[in-house]
Amino acid sequence: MENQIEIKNLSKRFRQKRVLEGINCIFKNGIYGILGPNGAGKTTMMRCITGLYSFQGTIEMNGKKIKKTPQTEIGYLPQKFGLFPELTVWEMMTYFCNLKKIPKADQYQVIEDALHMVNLISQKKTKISKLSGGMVRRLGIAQAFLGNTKVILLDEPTAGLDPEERIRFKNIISNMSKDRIIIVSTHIVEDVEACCDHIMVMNRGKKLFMGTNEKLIEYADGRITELKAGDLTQEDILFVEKSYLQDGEKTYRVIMKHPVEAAAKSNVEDGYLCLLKEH
Amino acid sequence: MYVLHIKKIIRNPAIIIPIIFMFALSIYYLFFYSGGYESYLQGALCKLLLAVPYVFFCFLFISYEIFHSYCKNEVHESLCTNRISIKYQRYDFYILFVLDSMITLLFIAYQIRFYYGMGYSMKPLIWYSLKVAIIFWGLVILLGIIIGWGLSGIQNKLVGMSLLLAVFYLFDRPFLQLLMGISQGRLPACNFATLFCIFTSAEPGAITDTYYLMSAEHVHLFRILFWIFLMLFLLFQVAKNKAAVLWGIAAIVCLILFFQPTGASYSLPVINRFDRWHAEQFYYDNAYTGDSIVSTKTDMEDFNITAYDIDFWVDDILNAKALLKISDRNLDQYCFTLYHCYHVTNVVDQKGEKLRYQQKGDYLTVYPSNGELSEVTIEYKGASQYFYSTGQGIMLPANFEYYPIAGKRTTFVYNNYNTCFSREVAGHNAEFDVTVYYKGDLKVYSNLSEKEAARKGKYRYIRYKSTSDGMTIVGSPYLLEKEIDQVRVIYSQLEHDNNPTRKDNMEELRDFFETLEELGHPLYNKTFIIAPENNLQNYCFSENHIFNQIFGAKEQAIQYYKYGKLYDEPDEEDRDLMDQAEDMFQ
Repeated sequence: MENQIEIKNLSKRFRQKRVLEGINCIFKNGIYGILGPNGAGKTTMMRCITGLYSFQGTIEMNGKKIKKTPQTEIGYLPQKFGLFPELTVWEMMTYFCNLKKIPKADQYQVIEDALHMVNLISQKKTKISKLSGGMVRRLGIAQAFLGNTKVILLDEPTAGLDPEERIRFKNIISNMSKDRIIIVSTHIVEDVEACCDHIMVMNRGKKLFMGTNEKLIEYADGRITELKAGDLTQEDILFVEKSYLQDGEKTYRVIMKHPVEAAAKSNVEDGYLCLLKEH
Repeated sequence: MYVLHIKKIIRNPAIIIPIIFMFALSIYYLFFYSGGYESYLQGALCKLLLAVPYVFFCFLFISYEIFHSYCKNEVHESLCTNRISIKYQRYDFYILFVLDSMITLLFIAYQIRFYYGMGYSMKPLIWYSLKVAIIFWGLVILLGIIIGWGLSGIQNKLVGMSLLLAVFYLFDRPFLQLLMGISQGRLPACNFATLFCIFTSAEPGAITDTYYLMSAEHVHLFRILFWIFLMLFLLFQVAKNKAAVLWGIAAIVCLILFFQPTGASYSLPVINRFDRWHAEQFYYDNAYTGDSIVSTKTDMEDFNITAYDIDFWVDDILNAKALLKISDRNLDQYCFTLYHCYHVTNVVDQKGEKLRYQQKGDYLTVYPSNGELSEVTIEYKGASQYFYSTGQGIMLPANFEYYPIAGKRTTFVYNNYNTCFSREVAGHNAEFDVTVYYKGDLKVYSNLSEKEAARKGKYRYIRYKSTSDGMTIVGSPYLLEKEIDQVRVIYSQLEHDNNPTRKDNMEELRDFFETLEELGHPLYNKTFIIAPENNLQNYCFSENHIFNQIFGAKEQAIQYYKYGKLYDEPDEEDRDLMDQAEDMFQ
């Protein structure tokens, strides 16, 4: 089934500070990555979609206002995700099942499937206090997928995870995207590049871009070059991305203000940074 | 869901240890520790009231710990996404409520066990214990739970714990004393201060007397409900829950009801105008200091009241409609004494025409419109702090001006030697036709002859009719009537030392009756109403009844009937000192 979230003119203000400003976008089945620096408004937008915050504008899911959407259709992994340390993994999942009003008869199967999915079935009797940070995060993902969820919102899901856990997370997400809208908010470009079909870039509460990875890469096409230390004085440099040693000499990967002839191949990160620095 | 929440609580040592500790300590304190409290009736209540602040704080802390776990473990956001806001915490609240009910049941069990142990097994006493348990124990703990819940949202635990202590201070005695210091005896400020009196006094004075016991009237219920609703309002308001409006309205209603006039007679842990022991002193300190003297009458009346036809409605306050027949018809003004807390609302003459009147302090002056007044009907309502008349009990002795008395009389004697209500009765015989309407399970008695008793609507009533020089009305669920040596004796069965059924008291009583006969004022076929023990310094001698305790009654009767003395007077040494002081000033 095709699901759709339509956001029209979404704005949010905390007292005098405007955090979101006139955001318009449509999410359909698939994985969306929301990229933006800290303070861009990613978490606020997520919280508006979950209904945690009141807002100006409209958010509709499948034609219905988001506040009238049954709670069971939205799964959410917040940025700061915690659990009751006194309960076991299984008890905690039962707790979430009860909150999502999943019938008692179905709970066993639903929990088992979710724990299998995040590879935590062997830990089901372990107390939450004994789990590692990565395991808690995976459990958070599992709870977000519980029930008949049509939208999954994952706020900074890979924060604090080691590389192996991050790969596992990407695999889980990729496998679960069928018939669902998955929105992943992060400032780590690699995560988005690896598993998202679409990217939305935000900065200072505004939407800067929404489209496929390729479209974002196009922003930096022909503008990425590698310069030696002596060439860094050029006025055409927009942003110095990183530096590394090449043939024993320090080399810089640079985004230029205008296309150059001997440009290097650009990637999503280049496109993202190019977009941020130009706006 | 309950099971998961219980597991969550049981497995958290920071919560379960205080709970176990509190219950163990409560059981030990209630059932295995005497502390000298259990030798007298008020001991049970005093012992329980003493523990209330500590149990309140325990629940405050436990509640804070339980609800703070959501904040501490950062589970709020993932739970709130399920659009249930603070509702998901309701299971914890229910568990705490069950714990509150359990400890309240312990309290009730202890009280009932105590009363049975002392030989009191009346049904009204059990109901009273239940009421006290709910108001002063169950609801106070519930308030602690809700405050703990409200403060649990504060992230910083140090700040949270500091606020818990601040809340405790808010309801404890030092803050009340501070409020009283600020209020400087002003009536509205004193009344406002009583709003913070959540931990009722644990001193023996908390029990008014054995007619009334400790006050458990509506005013206390409104006070605690106000705080509960206010805290719920704040809690739901912060959570942006629409139910906040309902809680807010409920809090305002309870606050309004709390400030309504009440006849509840209670003791406070600080000096306050609403404390029964200090109410009169406050009033007479401010209004009558110069006028209060030791004398029987300050101004002889110019007229007599020959008959009274009074209807009393005993509710939260006393409502009365008194028709008085007057001996002298042609005076310019008629002055009556009526206790200042009874506010006159209407005065009409024999034709039903409204009369001009002026009520100032304890005195009411009525001005006849046509120069002739044979009958006057006075409607009034109000309540005294000391002599109560509510659904919980009635104590209206004949020496107290709760119905209009002819002339100006001193109502309260307040000098270096006496601080008491005046002990004289009206002094003239009059025909009394009095009906007392009351609610509840009171047993109402009077020195007057009972003519009729029945029910009218929600009220029960008793009609009395006879001639007397004064009228005493007493009422309590615990009163009994007994005839001893042809004297009708009325007493509270909760009395211990002052109980006429005890062998030594019976002998004392017979001796007292014989002395009265020797003094020429036999009490045969008359009534002796045994005043409760706490009714210090108040007694009266009327032609057809005596209202007094057993002990000391004989000596006071000798002083009164032989020497005409009703008050303490300075002895020779005191007089010398007073003379010396006078000389020094001159």
